[in-house]
Amino acid sequence: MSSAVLTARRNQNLYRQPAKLQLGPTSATFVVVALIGVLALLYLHQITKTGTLGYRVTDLTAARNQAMAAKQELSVEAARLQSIQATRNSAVAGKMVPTSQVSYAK
Amino acid sequence: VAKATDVIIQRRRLGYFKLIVIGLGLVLLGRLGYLQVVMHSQYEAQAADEHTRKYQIPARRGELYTNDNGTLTPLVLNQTLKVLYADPRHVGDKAAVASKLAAVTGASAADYQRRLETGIEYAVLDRRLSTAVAAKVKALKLKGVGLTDVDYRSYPEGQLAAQVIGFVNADGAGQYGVEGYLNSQLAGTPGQLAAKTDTHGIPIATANNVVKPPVDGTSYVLTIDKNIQSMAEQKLAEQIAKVKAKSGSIVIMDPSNGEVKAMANYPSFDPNNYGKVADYNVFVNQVVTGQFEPGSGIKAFTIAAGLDQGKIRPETTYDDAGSVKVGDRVINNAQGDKAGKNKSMTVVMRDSLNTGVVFVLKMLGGNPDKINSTGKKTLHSYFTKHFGFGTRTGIEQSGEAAGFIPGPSTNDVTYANITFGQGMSATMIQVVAAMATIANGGTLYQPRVIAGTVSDEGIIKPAGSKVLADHILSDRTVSEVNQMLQVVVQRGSGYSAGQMNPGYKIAGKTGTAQIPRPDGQGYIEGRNIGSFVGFAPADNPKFVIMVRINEPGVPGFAETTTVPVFGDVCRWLFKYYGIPPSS
Repeated sequence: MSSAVLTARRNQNLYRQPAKLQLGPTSATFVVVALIGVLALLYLHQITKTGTLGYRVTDLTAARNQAMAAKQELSVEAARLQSIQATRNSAVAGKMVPTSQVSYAK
Repeated sequence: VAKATDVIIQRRRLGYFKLIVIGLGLVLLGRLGYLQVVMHSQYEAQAADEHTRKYQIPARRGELYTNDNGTLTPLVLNQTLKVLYADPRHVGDKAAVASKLAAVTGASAADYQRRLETGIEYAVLDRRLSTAVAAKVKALKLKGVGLTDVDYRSYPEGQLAAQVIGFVNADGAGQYGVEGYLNSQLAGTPGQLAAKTDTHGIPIATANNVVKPPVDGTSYVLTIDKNIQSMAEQKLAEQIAKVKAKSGSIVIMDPSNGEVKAMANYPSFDPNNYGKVADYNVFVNQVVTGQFEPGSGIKAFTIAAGLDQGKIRPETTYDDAGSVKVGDRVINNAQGDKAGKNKSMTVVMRDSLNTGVVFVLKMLGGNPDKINSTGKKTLHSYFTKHFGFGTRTGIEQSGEAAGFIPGPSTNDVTYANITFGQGMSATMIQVVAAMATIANGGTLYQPRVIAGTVSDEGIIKPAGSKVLADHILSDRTVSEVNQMLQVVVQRGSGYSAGQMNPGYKIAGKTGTAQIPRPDGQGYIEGRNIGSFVGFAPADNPKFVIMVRINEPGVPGFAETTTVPVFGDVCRWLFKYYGIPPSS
C-alpha cells in the first residue's frame, strides 16, 4: 500500500453521519395498510376466540344442568328411600317388634 | 388560438367533473350522516333486536325440610323432569309409535295412541319422565316426538303432611298449606339475561351480555316432627275407619312455644299426584280452615273466665234443674245427666253440664239469676282478647279462618249457647292455642309450622316463637282449670284416655257439637262432630292434642269417637319423648 493512501486514511474523519431513512408516500401507505391488516386479523382472532369460548360455555352449562338434574333425581330417590313409608315397609322394620312396657329408672 | 380554446374547454370540463365529484361526495356524506347520526338509535335498536335476545333465568324454588333430631329431612324437593310430547301431524304410524313409547315408559300404549289421534299440533303424551327414561325415548328417534325440560316439585314422603305442605300447580304457583302461604318467599325472583345470539339463536358469551342474576327462593324447615306426624295420621285413619266416620283431623302442639308437631286430616292426598284428586276439599287443611261449633270443649274457657274474674271457685255450687230457661228457649244438659242440687264447678266440668256454664255466665254479670250485658261483655273479652277466638292465629297456612264470636250485644240465648261452644265458630288451631295457655301458665303463643329458614349450606336460622298475649290468666286460675280438666280424665268423659296411660296425669275436655243446617234453621238430626282437646303430662305439659272426628257412623258422643285416639296418641308420645309416669 502506497504512503499516499495511508496518509489519506490517516487523515479521514472517522465519524460517520447516520443515513437518513426516509419513507416515500407509497411505502408509508403500504405500512399503514399492513398495520391495519394486522390489527384487523388480531381483532378477528379475538372475536372468533370469544365466540368459540361462548359455545364452550354453553356446552359446559348444558353439562352442568344435566349433572344437576341427575343430582336432583338422586336426592329425590334418596329421600324417597329414607321416607317414613319406605322405612316402615323395609325388611329391617319387618323384623322389629313393637315396644310393650317401658320401665323408667327412678 | 385553437389550442388555447381546447385548454379552456378542458379546464372547464375538469371543473364540472370536480363539481360533480364534490357534489356526489357531499350527497354520500349526507346520506352517511343521515344513516349514522340521525337514524343511529333506530338502526342500533333494530340490529340489537336481530342479534340479541332476552331470556328469563328462573329462580330456584325454596325447599321444605323437617328437623329430625338435628338432621334435615326433605319434605319437598325440586326436580327437573321431562315432558314427552308429539306433533301428531308428523307422526306416521300412530299405533306403532304409541307401542314403542309405551314399551320404554311403561305407560299404556292405548292411552298414547288416543292422545296422538285426538291431538292437533301439540299433544302431551306423558309427564315426569326421568332422565334415564328420556334417554331411552330419545334413542328411539321417532319423528314428531320430542322431550322438554319441566321443573317439578317432588314430595318424597308422599301423603305425609300433605295438607300442611300443599302443592305447586302447573303454573308454578303454590297452592294450599305452606306452599300457598309462603309462595312469594319460596318462589324467589327470576333473573334476566340479554345476550347476543348466533344464527341459531343460541346465546354467545360476551362481555356485553347483561345479566341480572335470579334470587333463589327461601328454603324453610318446618316444626313438624315427621315421626309424630306419621303416627298421628295413622292413628287418625284407623280410628275413622273404626267408628265409620266421614272425616277427621288431629293437631299436636308444643305448649311452651306454639310449635306444631303434627297436623293431619283424613282423607288426604298425595301432592305428587294432586291432579288425580276429584274432591278439592281434600286439599284443605281443616285444622286451620275448617271453622266449626266446637261444643263442650269451650266450657273449659268459660269456667276459666269465671275463675279468673273471681266470680266462681272450683267448689262453688249451683242447683242443677237439668235445664235452664233463657229468654223463650230452654237449654238442656246432655242426655243422661240427672238434675241435682249443689253441683260444684268441678262437677260442671267433669259432667259437661250446660246449665252449669250458663250459671257461670250469669255469675260473670254478678247476678246468679240473670244473664246481663256485663257478663256477656266479660265473656266476650276473655274469648276474643285472652284466648284469641274470632281472630286468625297467623299460622303459616293458606286459607286460615278467623272463626266468629258474636258481639256482647247479641241476645242472651246466643250467649248462653256460646258458653258451651254453640252459636260461635272456631278452628281447631284456635282451640289448641287457647288450651295451651292453660298448659303453659297463661301465655297465648302464635301456633306456627315454620321453625326457621335453611341456607344452601344447611344452616338453620331459627324463626323464634311469637307471644300473642301474655299473662292472660292468673297462676291460680291456670292451676285450678288444670286440676278440673284432670278430673274429666280421671272420672269424666275422658276416662278411657286415663285408663290407657296409668300413672300419667292427663287433662282434657270432650266436646260433641251438632252440625248446623245449611239453611241456618237449627241442626242436622243424628249427625255430630266429636272432639277432645287436652294436654299431658298435666303437671309438666309437653304437648297439647286436639282430635276431631266428623259425623261418626256409630252411636255415642266424643268419649267413644275421639278419646280413644287421644289416649293412644298420648301413650305413643310418652314413649317417644321418654316421659316417665308421675306415679
